[in-house]
Amino acid sequence: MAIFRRILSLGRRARMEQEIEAELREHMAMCIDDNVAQGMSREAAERDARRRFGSPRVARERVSAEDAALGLESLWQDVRGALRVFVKSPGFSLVVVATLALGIGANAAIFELLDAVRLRTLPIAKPGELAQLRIVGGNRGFGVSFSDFADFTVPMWQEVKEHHDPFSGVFAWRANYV
Amino acid sequence: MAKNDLQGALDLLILKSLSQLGSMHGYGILMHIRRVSAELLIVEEGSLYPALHRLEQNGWTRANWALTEYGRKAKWYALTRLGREQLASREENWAQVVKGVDAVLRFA
Repeated sequence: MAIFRRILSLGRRARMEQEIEAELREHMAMCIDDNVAQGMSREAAERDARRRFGSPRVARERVSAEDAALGLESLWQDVRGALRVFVKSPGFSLVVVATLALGIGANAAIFELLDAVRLRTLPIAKPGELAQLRIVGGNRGFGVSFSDFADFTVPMWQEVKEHHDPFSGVFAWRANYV
Repeated sequence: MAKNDLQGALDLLILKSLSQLGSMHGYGILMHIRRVSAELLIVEEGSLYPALHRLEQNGWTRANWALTEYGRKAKWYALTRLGREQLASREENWAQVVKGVDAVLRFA
């Protein structure tokens, strides 16, 4: 399985890099050998091979990128790349971290407040069994409608309050539309 | 509908060369393609090696180090069973691509 091989190849990076380098070096050598065999001088043969090959460093990086793109290695490289950027510009990193911390903190604080003041104070024993009654259909149906769901009118609510057999209890609230 | 069309051409050339040569190193594959195509197709090293490694990672080829006939160390590639299957489907696919491109070129 290719995927297992990819996972196994994690951590063999250095060895893989060396192997790629050796492979490309040998390729170049064979190319030079051929050129010499065809009657070029050693120097011209090397020059021609190098010209055809282009930058060996670029070639090596492209090959290892091919290996990395297929492995989990690339994930680790992304993390390392991100860390390098953080280290390089600590001011920027600080602003990012502070912004995230404040954002997350503020959200958590506000939710905790709301949770304590509004949600926990509701007299509901089993929140999992809580259900909301709504009238679907907006103005085409009954009730007072401001959106897709119509609100119960007071007489409707009184009926529900009297006959709420499937529920152990009911309560209603009113929104203040300004 | 042909998939992997034109971009897959290099992979196809390499797979086919390996099936013709049995086992070969990168340089040999390059020269084989060049010679057989009468120099019409000259694959660049910069494209060949990434492709070779992609094929190996996909499990279509298996590689090991051995000496060349001139005593150079080289990484020799050979098709796996998966690689042969891949080649068969790619060849079929390529025929479709050629037919498709041809049809467009001939449209008047």
